[in-house]
Amino acid sequence: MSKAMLIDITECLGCGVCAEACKKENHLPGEVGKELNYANYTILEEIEDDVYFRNLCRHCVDPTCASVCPVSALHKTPEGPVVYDFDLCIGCRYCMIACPFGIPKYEWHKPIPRVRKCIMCYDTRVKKGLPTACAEACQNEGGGATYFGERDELLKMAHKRIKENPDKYHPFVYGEKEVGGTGVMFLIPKDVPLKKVAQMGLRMDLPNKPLPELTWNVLNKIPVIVPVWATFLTGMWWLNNRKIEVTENDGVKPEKKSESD
Amino acid sequence: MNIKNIKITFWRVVAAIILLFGIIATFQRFFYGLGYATHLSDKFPWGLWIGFDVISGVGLAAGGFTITAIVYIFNLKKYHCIVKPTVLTAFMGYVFVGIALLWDLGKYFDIWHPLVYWNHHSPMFELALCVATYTFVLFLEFSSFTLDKFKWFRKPVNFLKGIYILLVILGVLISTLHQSSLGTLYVIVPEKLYPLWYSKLLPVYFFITSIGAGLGMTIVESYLSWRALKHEVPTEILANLARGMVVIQLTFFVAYFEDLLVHNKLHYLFDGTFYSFMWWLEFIMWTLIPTIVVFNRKWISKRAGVFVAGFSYVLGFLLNRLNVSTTAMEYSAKAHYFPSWQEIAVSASFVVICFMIFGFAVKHFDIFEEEHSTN
Repeated sequence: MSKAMLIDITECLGCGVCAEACKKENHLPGEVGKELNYANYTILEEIEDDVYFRNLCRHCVDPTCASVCPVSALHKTPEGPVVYDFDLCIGCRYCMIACPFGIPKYEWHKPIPRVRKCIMCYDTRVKKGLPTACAEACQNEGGGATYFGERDELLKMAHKRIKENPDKYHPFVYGEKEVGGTGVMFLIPKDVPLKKVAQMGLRMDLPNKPLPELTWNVLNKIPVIVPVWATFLTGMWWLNNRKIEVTENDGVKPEKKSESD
Repeated sequence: MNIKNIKITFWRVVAAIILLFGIIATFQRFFYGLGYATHLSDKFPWGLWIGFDVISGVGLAAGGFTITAIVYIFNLKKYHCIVKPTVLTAFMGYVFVGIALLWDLGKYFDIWHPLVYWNHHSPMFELALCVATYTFVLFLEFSSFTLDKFKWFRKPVNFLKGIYILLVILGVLISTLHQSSLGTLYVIVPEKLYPLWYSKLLPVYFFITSIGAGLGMTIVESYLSWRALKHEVPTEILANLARGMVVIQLTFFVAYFEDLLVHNKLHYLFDGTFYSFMWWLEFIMWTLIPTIVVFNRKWISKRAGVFVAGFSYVLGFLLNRLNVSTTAMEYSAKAHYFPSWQEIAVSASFVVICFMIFGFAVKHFDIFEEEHSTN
């Protein structure tokens, strides 16, 4: 089963205990910042007065970053989190180009940099069956906006909330379908226009199909194209060579090949 | 004689200055990191070193597969005299793409990882595998006509000559795959690439235009080595390459234009933005100018005219690749990118080194000397 998080934006107070807990859990340097970067896996952004959007890796069901990584340094674990293996990484940064949410960040200041992003506390918590540090902090000390659990159950809960309070929420769960579904999902308050939310990082122009399908639909043609192309090229070579031989021998194909050098 | 000497000295001074800056930039990049030496950032992670050194570099080295296909598969033997220089430039191009990549990769010492840790879902993996294999194929092709100078290599060289057609076909196959993969890299970012350059057919476009780039570069190289070293490739042969280049480009352009039409993107061409300006510049350089020159009988029969067509195409091709990798990505990155002097110095240094090696090889390996066709 796949672990996931649901963030009910209406319940977020903007207190920031999530970001602090994240820093502590992942030993990230410095104070809590205002932008996602190598030292901040999650941040709060004010959409409008007292409405906050928490940005972090979405742990996509079919992650674009894992699909583009040439060495599978990023990969989706069976438990749900998308994790990173520094030993495999070559530092090509294709993940940063490809991620539709702009999540992976880089240690630009280091001679040997790492890709940095939220790994859903995989090694320290989720693997052991514990909730993520941010969700725990939010439930215990914060507004209780971040829920951790099974993806299916969180989705059920989200839809129940929408059904019971149709005036409170936009009538969909962000992340249920976007790019094939994500592991971090959002309930968006109805009084905030979607345009504003889209500017913050919940883009509304994403397809419901996983993005990796786009490149896979190209790459899976390779085994089809190679034999066809090879046959054509070899055939052209045979044809053109034969033509020369025939012309050289007054329109007759010579019986024996008497060519050597 | 004097004038010639001064000219050579001038270019040598320029080359030395570029290389000096390149060395300083290299030192900074490897000791202080990418953030110090480049204008790359979280918002703009791929810059000149990917857009120019890799994406454009591989494309400009496409002459290797284009010309060998023309001569050995389609058997147009009169083009045989340009096989050696193009295979040399292709081989050199690929080697330097591999080397230049070391500057860009965060963990450059792990550059070999894609050959061992496979992820066949990644176009980048396919690219890495193909470029590595093709560089080896080019090495074999190149060895087959340079190493027979040396006695000890006669036997392996004769073997290579025997299987040369296999190398050529393999080369075309692998080139088809990785030239298109460069386009596939961007197929996964439909929401990030500016609409004028995004298409699901990017891999097809990249492959077709790489053929044009291969032909264009062959023209430019032949012209430059004629200027500098007085090696003569008949103008008529180069003019024919230019004609082929234009036919391929027009074919591509019709397909590309249809795509714009079908997806209702034509209005982007006339909205007066920076993007539309870059698009028109690109169009003029790699489609309009070569076409006009090629269809003007007076111009195309002159060496300079052929050169203008080829050079204009090459510049337009460069602009196209940089537009895809930089201009079109800026649209979504919400950040402006212009390379740092270190990035420019390193890229320019590689160009200088390629020129130097080409000049050296032309002088010492008889690459323009026509060997009488034996196969």
